[in-house]
Formats: sequence, C-alpha cells, structure tokens
Amino acid sequence: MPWCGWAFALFGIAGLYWGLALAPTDAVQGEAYRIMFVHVPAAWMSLMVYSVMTCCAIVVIIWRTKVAEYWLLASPAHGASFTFLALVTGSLWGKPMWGTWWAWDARLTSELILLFIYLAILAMKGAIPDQRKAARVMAMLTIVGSVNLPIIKFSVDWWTTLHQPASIFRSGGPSIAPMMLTALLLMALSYTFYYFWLTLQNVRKLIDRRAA
Amino acid sequence: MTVQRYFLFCLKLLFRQRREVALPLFFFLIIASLFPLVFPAKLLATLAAPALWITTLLAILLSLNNLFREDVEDEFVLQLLTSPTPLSLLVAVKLLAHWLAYILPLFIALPLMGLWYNLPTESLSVLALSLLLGTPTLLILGALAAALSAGLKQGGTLLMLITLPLAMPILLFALSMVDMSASGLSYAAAGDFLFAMAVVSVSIGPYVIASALRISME
Amino acid sequence: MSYWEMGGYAVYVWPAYGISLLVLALNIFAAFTPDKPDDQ
Repeated sequence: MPWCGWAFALFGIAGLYWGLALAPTDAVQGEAYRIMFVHVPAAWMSLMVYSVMTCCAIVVIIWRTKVAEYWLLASPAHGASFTFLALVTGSLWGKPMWGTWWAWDARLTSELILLFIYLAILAMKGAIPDQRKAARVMAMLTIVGSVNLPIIKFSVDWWTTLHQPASIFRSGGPSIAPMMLTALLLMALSYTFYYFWLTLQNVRKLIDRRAA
Repeated sequence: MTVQRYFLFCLKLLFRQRREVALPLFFFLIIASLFPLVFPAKLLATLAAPALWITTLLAILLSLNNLFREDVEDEFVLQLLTSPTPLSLLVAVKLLAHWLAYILPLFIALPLMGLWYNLPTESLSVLALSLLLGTPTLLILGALAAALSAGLKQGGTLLMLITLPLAMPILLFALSMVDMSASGLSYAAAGDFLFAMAVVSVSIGPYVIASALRISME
Repeated sequence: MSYWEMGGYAVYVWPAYGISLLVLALNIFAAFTPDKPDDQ
C-alpha cells in the first residue's frame, strides 16, 4: 500500500512538471488552460469513484461481502472531494474563459447534483451507527444515484452546453495536442493512485476499529 | 393481509388522520401564495410554473415524513414484513393511497393557483400535465428515501437531503416541458421522458422500496 | 518572470492548483490520523 503513495507522488510530480513546463501554450486559451491539469483529473475521478462505489454497492447488496462494505464506507468522502475540486477548479477556469463563474448548463448542473448525492450518502453514513447496516443503506442510495452518471457523461452531447464537448473519450480518438494529453494522463494516473492509496488506508482504519 | 384490505386500511387510516393529512396541503397553499405576494406582477408569468413545482416538491417532502414513521414506531411494519403478500405490492398500494390523499388535492387547488398567478388555462393545463407525469416519480424517490431513513434520528432532514438531488432532474424536465409549450414548441420530448420515468419508477420502485425497508429494519 | 504570470491569468490558475493541493493534503491528513472514538 505505501507503494500507492509513492506512485501518486511520482506521477503527480511528473504530471505537474509536464503540464506546467513542457506542454505548449494553447492556441486559443493561452496559459490559463493549464487549469485543465487539475480540473479534468478531478472531474474524471469524481465519476470514477462513483462508478467504483456503484460496483461495490451491487456486491454489498447481493453478496454482503465485508471488503466491499468497507470500500463503500471509505470512498464517498474522496468522491465528494474530487467533485468539489472539479466544480471549484472548473469555476476558476470558467471565469477567464467564459467570463462567468457559473452557469446552469447541463454538465455543471449534473456535476453539482453529483456532489449533492455524495453529500447525501455521507449524511446517511453519519446517521447510522451500525457500520454494516450503514453500508447497505448507502449501497441502495449509490445505486439509485448512479443514473446521474450517464447524464453527466453525455450531457455535453445531448444538450448544447457552455462546457466543452468531449475531446478525449471520443470515437475518433483524442483531439488534443499530444504533449498536453501526456500531462493530462499523468495527472489522471496520479489522482487514481491517490484515491486507491487513501481509500486503502481508510479501509485499514475501519478494519482496525472493528477489530478493537 | 390481502392487498385490497391493506389498501382500504391505508385509506381509512389517512381519512382518520385527515387533519394531519391536510397539513401539507395548507403548506402548499401558503407557500404558493407567497410568490405572487412578493414578486412583481410582470414576473409572475415566467415564475408561475417553477414556483408551483418547487412548492409541490416541498409539500411532497413534508407529506413523506409520515409515510413510514408510524409503521416503524408501532412495529406494524414487522407485520407487513412477515405477511404472505409480497411486501412490494403492499408498498405499492400504500403509495397509491398516499398519492391520492396528499397529491390529488393539489390538483384540485390548481385552478385557484391559476387565479393567483394569472395563468391562462392553457399554461395551467400543461403545468397540470407535467405535475401528473412527474409527481409519481417524485413520490417513489421520496418514499425510497423515507424507507432508507426510517427510524433514524434526524430522519426528516435526511429524507430531504436524499430526495432533493435525485428529484432535480425530474424538476428540470417538467419545467422544460412547460417552457417549451409556453414558447409554442412541442413539449412531447420532455413529456415522454417524464412519462417513461414515471412508468419505470412505478414498476420497479415498490420492489426497491421494499428491500430498503427490509434493510432499514434489521 | 512571465511563467508565474500565466499570461495574465495567474489569479485563476494558481488558486486552482492551490485549492486542489489543499483539499488533497487535508484528505491525506484525515486518513493518517486516528479517528476520535464515538462515545454516546
């Protein structure tokens, strides 16, 4: 597990260097686009953590596996943090680029809804003292809330939005400059390791508490 | 307990408690009157549908507080859990009774709303249609939240925190429906979506709510 | 030092990185310190 921590740090440093120093200046947006290197990974993680949680939730409901329960209990705090960061960094990027801190377009609104769903899950976790029962209740909530995920992903396709449409996960392949893409992927990997590192740590804490 | 008996039982219970049942309706009327009271008249036309939808949502949330509360406190829910009839069916009819008792009266209040908000009949009927299509899904989502938070302290607040993010898409679609019709465009797309969600939630909702109840009652 | 200026958008870019670092650091801190036990 410590290697996760080192992997996070390694990729993080590489990604930051690449993103801040090596990647070229964007033709349209100038230097400010570099916020992308913290905004996009955070947003990706906000969705990824929720997907992982949904899988765990299914396992918890059907098989009641303890590991899945712990993972489900430990994840939403990180998911919520990533969602919060995605919204805040997005807002900071939006002001110079679009001239506004916020807009009620489909993607921003559905990401905000995602944050509220994470918070509701965390609220449930806090309200139920018995951990196993809490996990099962959270599992139901997670599964019901997962309908929001496709809405977020496809919101930029289904509605005309302020937010930029997909430039990486597209059928034609990424349309972004290679140097930028590398930096982006490095940061995304870094955030992923971060999530696994910390969630493992939190799970370990939960197990220790249970054993005590 | 057979399904029919349980349904009649729910209705009788709601009727016996008609004063409590009327409370969300009064709440709806009072809040709905606030908007025309404070907003300038020329904003009312654009404001009416959103304000009425939010008020309906709040009224539904209020009514949900009582949905499972007494059943849980009296442990009547244990009887339901162990009865031979599938719990999902019992939940389904209980929700139907709930909808009839709490939400149907709101439709009866709509003409009055038309008067307060100066709404032409046509907008009012589109609004009514959007409410008809949207409230079942809201009720199912809210009932699920109620089942998950049943018996917890602060259950009422949790209920709202859980329901509101899930309810936002419904609100968005319903209001887009009203919006489209106001600009003269066809509102079929949003309406169909609301209808589809209503069908899906009413068909699988009771099963999910039944399992949520089981989980809560452990 | 035009690098720090970020083409004039510094006031947006650096806080974005800053708050990301802050939140991530807080989470690390929370994960590695012992939780308070809950006594009813």
